[in-house]
Amino acid sequence: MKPRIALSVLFVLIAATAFASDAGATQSDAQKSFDKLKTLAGSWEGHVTTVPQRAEIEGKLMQVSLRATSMGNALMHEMTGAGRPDDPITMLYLDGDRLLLTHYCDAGNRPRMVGTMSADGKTVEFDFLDVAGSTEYGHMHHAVFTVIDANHHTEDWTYMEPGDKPVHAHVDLQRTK
Amino acid sequence: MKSLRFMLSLVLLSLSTVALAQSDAQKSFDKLKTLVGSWEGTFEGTPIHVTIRVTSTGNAIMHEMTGAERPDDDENHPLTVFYLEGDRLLLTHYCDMGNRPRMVAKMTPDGKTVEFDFLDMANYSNAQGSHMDHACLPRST
Repeated sequence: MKPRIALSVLFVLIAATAFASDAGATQSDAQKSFDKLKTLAGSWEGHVTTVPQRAEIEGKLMQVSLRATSMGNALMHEMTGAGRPDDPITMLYLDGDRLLLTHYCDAGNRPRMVGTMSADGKTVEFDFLDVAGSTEYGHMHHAVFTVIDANHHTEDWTYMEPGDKPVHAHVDLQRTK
Repeated sequence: MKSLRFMLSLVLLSLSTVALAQSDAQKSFDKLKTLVGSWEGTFEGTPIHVTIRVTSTGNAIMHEMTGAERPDDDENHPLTVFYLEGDRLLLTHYCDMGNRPRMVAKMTPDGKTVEFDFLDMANYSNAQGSHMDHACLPRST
């Protein structure tokens, strides 16, 4: 009987250790993704292409600023376009073992997305988690940051127009500072 | 008939209360927008620099506070975002400690100050030891 108890305890310990190392790996992945995105701190510019094409922004020159704030606990992303009134900010931060972003949208709502890094470590992809505020005018739904090299990265933003019609915007960015 | 009248009064009262609450939040938000700019001051005797600006096509206000001697691009400063959520004016404080308290605004009876009370908080752990809990912003006149 005693060996049976010892065996059960051993199984519980093994399971607990496996779970702990699993959680550690997840946390480490989120931190790794966050650190990767922090390497993008600086000023960037590049042209945007849209699918389906949106004449109001197609081909426009976009400026992106990324900077770490809050003692390195948050990364602020800001995007503006030539001749455009839009000026959305996006905050990226760790939340427990997840990397999240909150997008303060020009449409007045605040979607949150959760980030995962690709196997090659070059891309951080954000999937929709939830949204606060009205989605009457649509909402940002998906984002992908791909690091090409120290002075070149791309961003892919998917906006859901009313009726859940996706508009995909791709921005090819070169570092200016 | 009496119950119908009572119901109607109740509905009208509810509607006017909602309208008033929404209007107060919007009014406070608009007033905070008048603080846009760069500010100098002291905090516990230490010089500080505050920048307030409107973003997201007017849907958010960003507040940043740094020590006066630190460069603007220094990462060692908290950032706070103010925004309307339904009939409430909220703020999310991206704290140097790594947590993110949210607070909800109410205007003081004299209408001169927008006061933010603690609502909830994300990413807090006991190891952090403390968190931002309350904020007051004077309304410009």
